[in-house]
Amino acid sequence: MSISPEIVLSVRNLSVSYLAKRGRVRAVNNVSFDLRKGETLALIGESGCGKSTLNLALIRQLPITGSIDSGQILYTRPDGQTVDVVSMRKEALRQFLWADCAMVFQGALNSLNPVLRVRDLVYDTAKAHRLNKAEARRRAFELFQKVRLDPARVFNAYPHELSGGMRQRVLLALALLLRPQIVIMDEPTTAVDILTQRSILDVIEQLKAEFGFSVIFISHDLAVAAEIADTVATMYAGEIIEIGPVDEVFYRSRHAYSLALLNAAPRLSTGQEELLSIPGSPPDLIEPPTGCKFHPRCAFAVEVCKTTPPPLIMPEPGHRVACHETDRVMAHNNRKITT
Amino acid sequence: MTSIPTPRPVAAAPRRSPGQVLRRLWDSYSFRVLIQSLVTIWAVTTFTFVLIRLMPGNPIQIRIDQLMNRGLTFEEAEQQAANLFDFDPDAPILEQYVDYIGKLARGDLGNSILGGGTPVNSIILEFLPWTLFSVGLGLLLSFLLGTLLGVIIAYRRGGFLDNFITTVSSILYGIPDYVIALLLILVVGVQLQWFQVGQMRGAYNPAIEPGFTLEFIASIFQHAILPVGTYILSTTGSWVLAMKSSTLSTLGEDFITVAKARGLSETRILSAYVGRNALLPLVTRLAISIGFVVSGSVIVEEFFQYPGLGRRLLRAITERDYTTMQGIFLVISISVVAANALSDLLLGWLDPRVRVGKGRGR
Amino acid sequence: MKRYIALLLAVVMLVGIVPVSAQEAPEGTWLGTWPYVLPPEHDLGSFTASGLAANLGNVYRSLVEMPFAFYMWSSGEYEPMLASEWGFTEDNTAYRVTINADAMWSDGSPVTSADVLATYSIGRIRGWSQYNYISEVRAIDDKTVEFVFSGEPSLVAERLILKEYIVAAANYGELAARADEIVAAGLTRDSEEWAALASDIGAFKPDVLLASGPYTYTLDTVNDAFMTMQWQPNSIFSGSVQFGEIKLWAGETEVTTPLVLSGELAHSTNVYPANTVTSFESAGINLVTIPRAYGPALLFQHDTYPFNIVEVRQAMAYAINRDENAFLTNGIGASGTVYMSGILDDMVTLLLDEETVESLNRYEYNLETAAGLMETAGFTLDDEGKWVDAEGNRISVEYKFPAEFADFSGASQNAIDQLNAFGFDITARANPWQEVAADIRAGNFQLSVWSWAQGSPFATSQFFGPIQRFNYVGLTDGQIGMNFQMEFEYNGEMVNLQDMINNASTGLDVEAQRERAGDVATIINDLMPFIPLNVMLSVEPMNEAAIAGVPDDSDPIWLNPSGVDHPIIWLILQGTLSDAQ
Repeated sequence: MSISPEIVLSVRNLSVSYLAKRGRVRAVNNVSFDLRKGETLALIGESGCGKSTLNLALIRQLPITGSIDSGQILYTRPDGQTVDVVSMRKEALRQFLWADCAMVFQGALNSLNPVLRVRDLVYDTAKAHRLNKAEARRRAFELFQKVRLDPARVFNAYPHELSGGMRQRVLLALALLLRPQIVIMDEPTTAVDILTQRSILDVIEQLKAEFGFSVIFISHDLAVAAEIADTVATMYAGEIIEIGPVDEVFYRSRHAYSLALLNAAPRLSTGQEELLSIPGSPPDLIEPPTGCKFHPRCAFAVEVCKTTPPPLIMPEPGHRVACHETDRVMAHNNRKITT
Repeated sequence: MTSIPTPRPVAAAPRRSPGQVLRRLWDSYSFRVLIQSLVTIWAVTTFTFVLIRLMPGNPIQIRIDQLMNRGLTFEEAEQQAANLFDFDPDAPILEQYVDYIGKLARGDLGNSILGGGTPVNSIILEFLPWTLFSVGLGLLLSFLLGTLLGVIIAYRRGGFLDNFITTVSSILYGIPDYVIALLLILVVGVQLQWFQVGQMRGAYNPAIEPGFTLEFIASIFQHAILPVGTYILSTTGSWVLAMKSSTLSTLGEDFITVAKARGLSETRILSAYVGRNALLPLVTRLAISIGFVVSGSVIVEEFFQYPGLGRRLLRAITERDYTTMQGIFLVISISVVAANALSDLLLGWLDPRVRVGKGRGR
Repeated sequence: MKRYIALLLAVVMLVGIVPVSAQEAPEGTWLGTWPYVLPPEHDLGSFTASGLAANLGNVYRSLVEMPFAFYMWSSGEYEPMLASEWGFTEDNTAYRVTINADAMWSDGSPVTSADVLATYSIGRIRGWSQYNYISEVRAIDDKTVEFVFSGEPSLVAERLILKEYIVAAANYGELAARADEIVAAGLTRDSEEWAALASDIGAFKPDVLLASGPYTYTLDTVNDAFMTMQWQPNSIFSGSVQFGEIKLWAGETEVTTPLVLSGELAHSTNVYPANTVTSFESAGINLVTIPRAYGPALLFQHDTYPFNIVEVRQAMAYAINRDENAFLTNGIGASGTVYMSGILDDMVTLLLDEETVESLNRYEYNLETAAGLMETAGFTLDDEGKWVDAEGNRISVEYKFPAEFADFSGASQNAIDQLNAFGFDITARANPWQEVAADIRAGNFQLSVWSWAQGSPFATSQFFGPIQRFNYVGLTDGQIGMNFQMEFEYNGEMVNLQDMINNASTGLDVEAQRERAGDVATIINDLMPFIPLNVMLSVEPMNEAAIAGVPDDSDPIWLNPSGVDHPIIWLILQGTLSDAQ
């Protein structure tokens, strides 16, 4: 797997909010990150942390109550031209979608229109992006083969005639139909069994190697994230609180929340240890806690955490974290790993 | 099944015993639907046959009472009603039933029991087309208009248009059709004089020679405006509301988001992704409505003097015209049963998931 | 040569006809209504269920298929229609009618005795009540017929004869011939041949309507919304009528109401609710008021306690304010019954002698008298003001009424309210009218409402409803109806009320008839077997923007009742009414 230094997507200070009955909910707050060509970025965090909202914002598919308040999503085309997705007009956006940035959603059953055959999904996509039918069919067959499906059968099937794993692979193939630079995968393996999950991950690896696209991978399954990601970003309360190379974040977590998250997950690599759940529940985003938003649940919290939001610091190159107590966390982390 | 393997002729012709043929037939879905439909129709027919005869008052007595209500003396009324009826009210009901079913099997609905008896078949042929035309057109237009508006306001949810149309639909939905018919006549016709009440009656202008001419066809549509308008006003609301809620739940589906994310054009999403899925739950309702098209709307047809089957049924019931009532009820039950079968087929065509288990294996 | 003579003759004959057919159709259209039978059942038969009787009714049929004469209720005289002379023969053994010499069918052929004979041959098969009085009809000459009485001559028979519609032998001759054969062969009603012929008569639908009246029509002019009859030149009245066309809208009250308001319907025979009548008035539409010759009566089921007690029935008659009842429920469309005798108030002075009229108890509204009668019957008021008998039972009964007839149900509901206020405990229940009628016949009711009296100038006929019509004596199949016993002791002697009513109008001696009718009226007035609440009036819109020449309200023609002998028949034929435009 080769990651070029070329940046395809650069998210700058992105903030997204929803209009709720009680007021505005800041679901994504001042998020910035870069995605390089061929890189796989895993976004981890509890449900409700803003990772799915972030992804919907990236493709501008927020529900009607949601809106991007500020920030930029800078996309660099293969020809080197950089555009801001946030300010794209309707038609430009429509062309950007799927051709440049595709998305594989969670819950494969509901992601496919039940009344259309797979071939109609393929042709619809092709037609929307001026790909001729024959070429679309050729590519689809090729991709189905690559995702280990029987192209002739799947092509003419209705979604309900396929198993969950098959549907997920159809979606994957569909995502690659237009050779996008970026594929966003929102929990692509949650709804399938462990064996299917394995094979899907293999397929993703293989396709990545072949087509060289970048991936934004959303998962709360840390094992999967650890396996597939180059870079990991932990989100909490709409913010990226730690981002860095996979080994850095997973084995040298510097944020109390990342650590807690890792401890809460069963680890295949280290065998069954005691599972530590994170006490409390995700914060209210309308009236978030002062200081570090994690402090009410944090085992390492000290007085300063309650009053001052921690700044984003870079303890290692490429590893940024927003925590007042990085050292204590780090120490704890190491001890755990070595046992 | 375990059995001792015995040498068998390899090329045994697939001869089927009559039993097997029947079994295969029974296994066929459409055959089963057909048999079930026939049994249903027979049961309904028998039920109405008995029910009709349990209604208080026999036709002769009722004719006399009716004439006396118009001010005739009993002698005059009795004189007029005498020998008018081709039917013996004292004949055993079983005898009447056997006679009826026997004729029915030959497609003969009998004669109207009122003197000299016009065949019920020809009565139905005279009135049915107008009902099919007016109620059918009303249903079609209200369905199209209702679903269209429903989709639009679902898209514009919460906006002025949504609030306005939803309110109007809810109000219209709550008003019975005959009230709308009355309002049309008394307010628009009599008060505002936008049309001549009498000129709009009947199915067409009798001064125009019936034929395939533009003038005649225009006259047919002109005369259908009031009943069809009433049906549209009274039923569109329910389609709007049903379509709105169905569309809203479809819009929340993941595959809509995916379709948008795929950069599909809005028209394509609207038709094949939102529209088609949102329509599915309405298909059954539509089929049920189609089934009741035939019976027409009794009171609306009466108010507008539109020559539909409903208006004729009303008279048959008032006069206890047993055979005509039976004939019309038979047509109604056939159409309801047929519409239900149609709804199955239509749903199967629109929704591939329904087709499973009906012969098309996985 | 012969040929030429024949041709010449033909030309002469044609010329002879010309003056008649050259007559121009008058202009103008009559805008009326009748609930005629819609196509495809509508036919032109005179004896079919969907023929002239149903399609034109007693109002418009006379304009097409005329009877001998028209009865004037104000004078009790007949006016000529098809006949020019009529009367009992000198020996009173027959009734003789001479057909108008100019009377012709619409095809130009004369109306002759043969037509009358054919009509009555068919009538015999159909069991006409004329045959209760006559044995045969014979032609004296081409234009004169005699109806031979089988027993006593009768004024009732006279009316039946003069009011019967005469049909054309050209259409009905074959059926009449078959009828004559059957009768000649001595066959009776219960023979198969008789029944088969009766059924054929009921099914016979002539292709062409032969009209003796000034209007005729074909099936082409009958459609779903209206039918039109065209003027034809060959009738005696063709020269006098002022309308070239009679347009009849289909439908009943609810359907004709908007047409009256929009001015598309000038005259209507429908019964409109009081508030509709008010809206006609405020729309400036003239109304004419004519008797309907019947009204609502409270019917008792006489097996129901305490309606079997005469004082209770009398008390109820006193306890209802009938004027208030009539006015509140039907406005100008009804008036409270005055004489309570079973005879229409208008006719009391004509059909009863003065002495009897004076002696009739008018049951003028009087709660004290009513209470006195209740006490006589053994009832006392409880602390809630309800009447209870010696055992403490209230008068808790059910009252069934037809939901559809607004005029009847309104009046009777009001009466029930008044009775409950007086101390009864009556619960009302509305049912479809067909069901109520069936229940009344079966005796399956306690208290109900139906009409009393009928549109006939004879006492027998007026007494008929409901005391015979809905009583065991007039019902078949063991139905008991009101079950009011018709044979009982009255003033110390046994009377048979059934026979008394049947004999009330027999013979030609009007004085004797008054006396016999008086006896019946006195008994009904005393025993109150039913309570005649009020007499209905037909309030009919007569839009003078469309119709000219409407006689004013004082004209005696307006005394003719609506159901039979409707005034407009005569007013149209005489040319009194014309198109205002």
